Amino acid sequence: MLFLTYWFVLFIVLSLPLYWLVRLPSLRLMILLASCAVFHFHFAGPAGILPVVVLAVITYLSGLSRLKTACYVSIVVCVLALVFYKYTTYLSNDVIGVLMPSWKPYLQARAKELLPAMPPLAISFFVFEFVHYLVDVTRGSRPMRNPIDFILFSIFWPSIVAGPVKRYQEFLPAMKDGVRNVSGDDAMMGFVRLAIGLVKKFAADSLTAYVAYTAPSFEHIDLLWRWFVLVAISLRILLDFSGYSDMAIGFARMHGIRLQENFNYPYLATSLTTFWHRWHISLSTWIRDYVYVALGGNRRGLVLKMVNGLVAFGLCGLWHGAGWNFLVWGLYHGFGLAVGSSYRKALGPVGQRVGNWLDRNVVVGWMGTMAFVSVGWLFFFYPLPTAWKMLVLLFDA
Amino acid sequence: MTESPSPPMRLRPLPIPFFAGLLAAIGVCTLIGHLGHRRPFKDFTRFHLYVAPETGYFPTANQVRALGLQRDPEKITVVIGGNSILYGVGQPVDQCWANRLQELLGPDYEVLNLAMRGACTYEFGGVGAEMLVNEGRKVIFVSNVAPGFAPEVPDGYVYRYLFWEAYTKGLIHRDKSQVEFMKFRMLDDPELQRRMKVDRVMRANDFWHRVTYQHFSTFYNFLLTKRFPRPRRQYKDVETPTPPAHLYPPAQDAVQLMVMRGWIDVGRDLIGEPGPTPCPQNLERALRNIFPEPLRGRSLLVVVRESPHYVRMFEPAERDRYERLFPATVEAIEKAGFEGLDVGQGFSEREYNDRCHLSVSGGKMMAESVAPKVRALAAKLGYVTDQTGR
Repeated sequence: MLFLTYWFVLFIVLSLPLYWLVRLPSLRLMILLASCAVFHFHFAGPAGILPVVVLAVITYLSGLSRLKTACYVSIVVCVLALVFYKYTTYLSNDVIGVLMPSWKPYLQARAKELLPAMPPLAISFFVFEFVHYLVDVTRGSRPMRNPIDFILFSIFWPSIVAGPVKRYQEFLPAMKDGVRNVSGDDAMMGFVRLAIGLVKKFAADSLTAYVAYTAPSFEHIDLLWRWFVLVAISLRILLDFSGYSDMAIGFARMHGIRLQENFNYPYLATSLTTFWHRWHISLSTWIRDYVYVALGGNRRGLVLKMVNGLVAFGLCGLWHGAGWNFLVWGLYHGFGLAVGSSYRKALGPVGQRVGNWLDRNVVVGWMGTMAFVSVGWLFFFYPLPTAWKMLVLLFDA
Repeated sequence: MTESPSPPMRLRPLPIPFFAGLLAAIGVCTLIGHLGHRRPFKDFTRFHLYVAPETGYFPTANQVRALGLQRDPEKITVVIGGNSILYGVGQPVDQCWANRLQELLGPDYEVLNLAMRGACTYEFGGVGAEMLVNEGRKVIFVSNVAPGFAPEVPDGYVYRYLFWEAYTKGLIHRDKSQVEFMKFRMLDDPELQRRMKVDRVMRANDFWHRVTYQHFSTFYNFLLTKRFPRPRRQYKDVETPTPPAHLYPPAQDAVQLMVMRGWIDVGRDLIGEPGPTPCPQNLERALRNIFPEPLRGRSLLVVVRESPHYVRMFEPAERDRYERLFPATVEAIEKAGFEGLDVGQGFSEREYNDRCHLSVSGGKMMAESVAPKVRALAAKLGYVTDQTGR
């Protein structure tokens, strides 16, 4: 957790007051740029900086050219870079290595030679933001001409590590407004948001410790206790993830820059569709706009709508981690969404009646949604055999 | 076109109370951190599990120092350091060897048990002793050394935070030669260094540990269970002896013997049997590098023998090497300028809870060996006029 290091405390104590005290917006912009560069360099290291620099230059120049071919090639390069850094080990061990076991030792050896010890910092986030930028440019949006704007979009430190995934059409005006008009209110609201995020993170840490201790003895505890552990798992990820988003939004707000909200009380959702309108909003909308819609969305009939949803959420799952369990988690939600969004039509009058009944009895819809989402977290956190076993134990007294 | 400067950040009336409150809150917490460690622990006996890092509680340098300063300055403070053996693992708190040592030494001495599970020879307890020496107290430091081996790290491993906290706050010092030696350890963990420098001013560690001990805890640990918000002062020392049925499980024999053979290997230079590869350490040099000069002459280092249950499993030649290791270790300790003591000769299996930890009876016997050495050292240091150390 980069925000909870002493280096970061010293960084923020030095950079923020400087940003606030300076009067010229252009100077504030330079201070922000310098602080983003220092932050990224410190945590990514020289080896981690290089991929983002290369991809940023390619993306920036392709965007400037507005040539569709250049943009599409850049998208492919960005995605290939993400696949290389994040998924090579998974593909060689768990996909190709399983289908063709004789290739596994060779692939493992090559991967070990080529891959760095860790993927470059925030590669998942900045690749998504570059892809969004290039796609929108091909669709007619104006490219960013000013390289400083582009650099800040690429490595804006509050959001680079764990989101929100930014859209440049919203970020740039917010950034320009922030450097020009940052106020005491911004600083205050930023602190409050930061404090909320910190409390959530510390609560999440306790839940993580509890789950780590209790989960291995899942089959030995009683049924009620197992569901309690499931609730703890669900709470833990919400508090951890939304806490981090709160801190990112808080730090950005301290600069006068308003980032989009990323969580909107997702555990109050009464259907899976509304859950995904409330959970990791920046990611789910990205998946919708650049995968689901790109595949055709719901414009080509019910069957293709379901297939597109499964593909989109399968990729969403894999984005979270390189493993079969993440893929299954994504497909699980994709399937749930497909059913949830089409049963009224597919089941005719019966489906309509069921849907109307659920609309009137929101508590039932809420309970069903929470049960579905909570069970899904088992696949998110645990290897598939363990997750399945835990799932069975939830219904086995 | 010139750019018009934006106004400096506007602080309308609304945020001023907020920031004033924020600064005041930080100030109050810092003040509590500066002042709140004076009487840190109620009825302190030793740092049991619930006031130790295993449960997320890291006693601060100021707390440890305050514990020592609570002792009568006219008396000789016997600070016990070292690891779980001198802590008294397996000895209930009211039957700990330190209690017997206090009884034997009498009213002119106060025994303070700062030994910690997993600590190296100087680690934690040595820092406590050094802080008291720097306060002008009459201190004798008792710690233990593994047979033939003492990790040559001046700040230790598990409790290295305490060393750096005390060092950064000026509670312990190092001469130039040792500062050079320590530099590689500083580079090893720059985040720890930064933390200590910030804490020197903010005293967040002292504040948080006071709150956690006195009022409430803020995070879950499996040893604390679901009642983790309780203040740590409500937890008791629950050390118990190993039940007889669980003593010396056969499945453990191979592992224990491997550890004991490790001592023989590391200490082979001491027993005059250098092997094909260089010995990993020189014990005399290690002890001099670990201990600051003011503490060397005030320290008694004991080497505690291991249970005869396992010693009997050695082949005769191996057993002979093992047995020679202990007097050789004491000799190296004394050459390095410390007082040394070989504890455990003639102990039976009943004196042990496991391979190395002493039972209640073993602890009493150790106290009976240590007490005369402490008195002799006190006399040598001029703490007492009576040459018997009374």
